[in-house]
Amino acid sequence: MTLDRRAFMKASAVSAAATAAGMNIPIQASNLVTDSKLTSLKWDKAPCRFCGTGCSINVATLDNKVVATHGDIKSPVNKGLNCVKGYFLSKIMYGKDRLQTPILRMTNGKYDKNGEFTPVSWDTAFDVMAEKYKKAMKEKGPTSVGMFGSGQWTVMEGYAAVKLMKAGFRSNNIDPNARHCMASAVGGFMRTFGIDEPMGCYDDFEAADAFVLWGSNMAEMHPILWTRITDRRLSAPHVKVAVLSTYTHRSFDLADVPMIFEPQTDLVLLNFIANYIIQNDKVNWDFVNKHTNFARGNTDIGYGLRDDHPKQKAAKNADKASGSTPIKFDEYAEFVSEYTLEYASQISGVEESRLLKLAQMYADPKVKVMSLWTMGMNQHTRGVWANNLVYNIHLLTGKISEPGNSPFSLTGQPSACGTAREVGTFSHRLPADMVVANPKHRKYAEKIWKLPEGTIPPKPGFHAVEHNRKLKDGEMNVYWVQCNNNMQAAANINEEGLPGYRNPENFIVVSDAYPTVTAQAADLVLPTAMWVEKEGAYGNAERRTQTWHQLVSAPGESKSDLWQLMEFSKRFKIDEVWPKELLDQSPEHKNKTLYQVLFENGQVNQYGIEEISKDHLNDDANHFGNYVQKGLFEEYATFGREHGHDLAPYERYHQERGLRWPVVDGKETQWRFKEGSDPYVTAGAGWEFYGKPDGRAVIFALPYEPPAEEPDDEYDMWLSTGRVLEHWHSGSMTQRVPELYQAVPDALIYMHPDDARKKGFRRGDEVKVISRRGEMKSRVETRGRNKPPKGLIFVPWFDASRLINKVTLDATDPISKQTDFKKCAVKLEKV
Amino acid sequence: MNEYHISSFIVRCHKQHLIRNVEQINQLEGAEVHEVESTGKLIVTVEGSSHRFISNITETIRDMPEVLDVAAVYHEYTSDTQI
Repeated sequence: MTLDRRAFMKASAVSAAATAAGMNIPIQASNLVTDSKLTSLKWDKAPCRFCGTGCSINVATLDNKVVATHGDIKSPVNKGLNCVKGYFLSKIMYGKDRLQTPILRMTNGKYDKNGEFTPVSWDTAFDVMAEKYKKAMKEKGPTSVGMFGSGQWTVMEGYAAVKLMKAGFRSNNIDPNARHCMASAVGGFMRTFGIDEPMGCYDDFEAADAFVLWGSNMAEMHPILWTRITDRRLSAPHVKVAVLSTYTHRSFDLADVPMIFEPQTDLVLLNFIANYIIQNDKVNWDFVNKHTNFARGNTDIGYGLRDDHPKQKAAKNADKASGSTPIKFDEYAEFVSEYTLEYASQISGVEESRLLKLAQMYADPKVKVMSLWTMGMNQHTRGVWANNLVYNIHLLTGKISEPGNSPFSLTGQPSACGTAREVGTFSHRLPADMVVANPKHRKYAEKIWKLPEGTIPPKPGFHAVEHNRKLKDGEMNVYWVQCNNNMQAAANINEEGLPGYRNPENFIVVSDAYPTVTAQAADLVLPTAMWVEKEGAYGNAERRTQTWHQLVSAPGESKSDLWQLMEFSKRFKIDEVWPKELLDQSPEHKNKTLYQVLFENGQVNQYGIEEISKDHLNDDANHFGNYVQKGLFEEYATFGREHGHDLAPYERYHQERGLRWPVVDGKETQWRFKEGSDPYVTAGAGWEFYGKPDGRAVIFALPYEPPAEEPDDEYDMWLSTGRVLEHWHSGSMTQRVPELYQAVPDALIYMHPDDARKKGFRRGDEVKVISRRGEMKSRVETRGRNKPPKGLIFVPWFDASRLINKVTLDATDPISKQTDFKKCAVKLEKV
Repeated sequence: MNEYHISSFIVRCHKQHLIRNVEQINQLEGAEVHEVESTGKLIVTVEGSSHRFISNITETIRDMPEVLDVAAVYHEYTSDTQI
């Protein structure tokens, strides 16, 4: 390599970093990077495909391969920065074990559930799949088929999947892995505000005076946003950071008020803060009187276990979990009055002085507070409650919907908001916060889709946890998994997941780029294009929708999830899947394929391929003969326009670094529900929570209730699970990057040195983690970045060879149906 | 595989430890501090023959006691034969 070339690459690296840091670019670097002769790289933008932060990345390609990436300086999200996950983006597509052809379990040339994976053509793969779908639907009806998707689907893929399942196959058994991640957050938003997703945005980071992390380890999970908090903390000395968690982690490095609390007692702490605000006369009465209502939520709501579980049978309100009755402020004040400082400190284990500092941050009207949380609150058997309780504090003080005052629910996946939530790929949802159970919503959707009334079934389908249960019970027999690794991600795979997939009655299809644990448990695996191997759109945690162009070709026979969904729909005649009464209502559909009815409806296929960017690939559009991504996006956008969820015209997103919805008159919205910022708020109202019919948000009286399982004499330790920075989620992509795998090769059991000593373990010993459901082996770590208190162990769940979810409990939040991965009881034994 | 990797980072540390951090980072093989801002920000490049090498160096920087944050910015790799 020439010195010129090497110097040029280095100068580019220095220049990009200096620009991102707002520092002067050294002159030598500046001269070199403007010399275009030295580079033959083609640069484009794309949102990062990892977490929910939604960073924009500049991606360089050379010879149809991604060879360089850097943080996009034009992005308001990451402002030129990148994190370790995003930093290795250029390598995620080039793992040696990348799948390149469909593989089917076969014996002697025929499908056999117990056969070996054998390469087959797409035709054969779809032939076998279609036969299984048709047989199941004929014998048991539409509810015998199901689909499990993801917040990693592009907006268009998620939309095509919902349409195919709910209108095509007429089954509501579609759910995303966001159920494991965001369902409690959605439940919290819908219950308190009547409309999903945060009211604030990332601009709050530079405006807040205090940050409170409720169970979140942002330093590792949302590093770019953590950098923004670090910058704010270091540049404005009055700013304070409070970190609450059940164990010590990297975010504690910056904590002014560090707090380790006993699992589940966050419910007590939140009610204590509300009580403190009331007792110290810090309620913002003007705000509370004009913009809130009070309600008492039903209690004793069970743990979302199977109906025959003793805990479920004992729960009084298991079937009315989300119910509530209106109350007055005085009743609410009396309700929270028992959550005193002494009680909160005693039950949580946090010192009184720290709890006081925390409560004062919220109570002081001059301090702008940003509350942040993710899985700690959402993966919780009272996750919806925990979300409601945070909003209570912000509503009591009126600290909401203005710069710096922001209860902010962070997301885990790149399009958990954009696809899973906004498109509505849940078993009970439709696009733009609509639900299948509401006849008006169904009618609205059917009208947009140009389908007869009654097409969409009214009964919500099975949710994620039920999917595995129904597969095991043989009620659901054909199942398609896209864009996720649920065999590793779902709780209790020993008793529910694996028996469901391997049930001889069932046929399981998994679309993935790599042979994940889930793919290996399937019967048919479809090789899938990823990230910039296709055109797509994602929506991040602050309502920002971003698009990208296809930049490179997918390897071998890999196809996008979108191609797979749409191409598969050609295998079905509408007469094979719809009942006669529906066909009689729409004779024009007779003899057509599902593809023609759903995707050649004059809307989805209305944009010609001449509209595709001349400088980019678009294999999907060229295959279908129209600009299919734009067609799907525009049809989807009609659901939300003038309905609080307005999206801009599709082509604008290719020009922008994303826009935050609602986008009205070409302008994005930073703070919803606040006059002057949100065009939906009535003039003179000040604030308006228009998701609710009376424009008022609800403050809920909800108590502390114990977790589904607690340590006892036999199972004497808490187990909490989580992630580490280098391995995003289940590690199916990041573990392909050898350097990331090298950094944290195996999931360790993090524990307190005193606990280890007491049990006779030394650092590095192999031990068994045993619960009532299963066990796993790993090695003891008593140092390192995660430091649990006595009585608790922490195990990350990215490692396919050490599946911690054999041990975890599938207790869920009864309202959101989201699993609690954060707490169950275990014992440890030396191997 | 014979590859050359170059990467750049913004390192944030407590400003009172700035000089010590700069010295420590410059001592690491392949690492170089290019710019220093008195508020505690450093521009650092790391170059080497593999991702693994670079990620080990960045992890070492991240684990320095006074370092608060390491944000990656740029990464490019190439094999010698390409040029």
